[in-house]
Amino acid sequence: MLLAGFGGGMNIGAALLRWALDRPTEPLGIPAFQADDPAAEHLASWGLLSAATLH
Amino acid sequence: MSAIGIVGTGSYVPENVISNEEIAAGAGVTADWIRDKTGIGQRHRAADHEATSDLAAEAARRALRQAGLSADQLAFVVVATSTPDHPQPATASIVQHLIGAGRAAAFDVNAVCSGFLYGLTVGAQLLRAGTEPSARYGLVVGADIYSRILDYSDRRTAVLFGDGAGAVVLGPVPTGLGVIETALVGHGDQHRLIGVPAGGSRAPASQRTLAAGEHFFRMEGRAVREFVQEALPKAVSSLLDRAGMPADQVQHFVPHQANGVMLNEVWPDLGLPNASLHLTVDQHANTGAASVAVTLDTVHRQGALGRATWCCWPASAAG
Repeated sequence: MLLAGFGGGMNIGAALLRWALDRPTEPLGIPAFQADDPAAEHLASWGLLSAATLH
Repeated sequence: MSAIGIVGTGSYVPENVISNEEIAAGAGVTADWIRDKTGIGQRHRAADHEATSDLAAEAARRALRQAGLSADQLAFVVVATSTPDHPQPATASIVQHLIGAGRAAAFDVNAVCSGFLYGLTVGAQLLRAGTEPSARYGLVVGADIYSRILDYSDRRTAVLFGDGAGAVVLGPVPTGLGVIETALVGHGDQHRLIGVPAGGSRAPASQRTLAAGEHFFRMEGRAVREFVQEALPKAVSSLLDRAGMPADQVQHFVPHQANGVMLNEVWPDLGLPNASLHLTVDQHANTGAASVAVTLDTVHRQGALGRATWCCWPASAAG
């Protein structure tokens, strides 16, 4: 499926969301992030759970 | 093999601080009433020359700086906002330009106060999908300037909101870490609980809508509170079930900063015995789509999160 948006910065978030969620989520196989900043190293050790409820 | 997680955080709130005393009289309440009902002590307000993209761009620069990346390494810029610079173009397009992310796709997500987490979910999935082999990093920003759409005589809304922006850079992290599980839930049947009535296709801006104050943000506060008190525990429980994670393993809880009093009331019902509840609502008030990202960056930079952390970020919002 091809989704195409045209126009000056039109909001295609909803279409992209559907597209993104329908995609398979295979890992990329790319190297893990390495940062010099110790604070950023902490970030890479986080496990994150996210729930968003919209009404 | 790598997972997708956060590799940099940043936030920005405007310099101008507005105390409870400064807005209490106009809303027909007292400063103590505001603190007692909301837990809010102050909020930041954007200067006249600042738009949402300006706040978003500064938060993005700080997140990129922490990650040690340049903007031209970004594959996309997602801006979650319900107070965009303009109806068109997307605020993300302006942010892309301001930070120099010339290789990035750019689009907005409007899921009001839950927008950052909707954007985070979309962004993580875009990187996981790997459609662009060179796409390793992406930017998700939550930014809002509610001060531009508030009726300062309406105590239900005037006292609650502040302006700000928070950003994260997404990128590869070690397998088993990063964004483990996300849940997006919609209750469209409740969409009338909040809103800006005019300015869209249903009621285009006109002299009549202006005179009626329909360009202001409105909220059915009591109904929203009841909704959150019912929906939030369910959302957290469902999320943990999906992730297969025992509740006692969650160490940090970073919620949307809707109302400090309400969050403290609902906190015991969430059943997270070993988690810390992180609130910045006393300093920043409710910054809309920015609030989770601003709070995450604030407590992270204070060193409150550390390593090997399991965070849970719920956002209940209206749209």
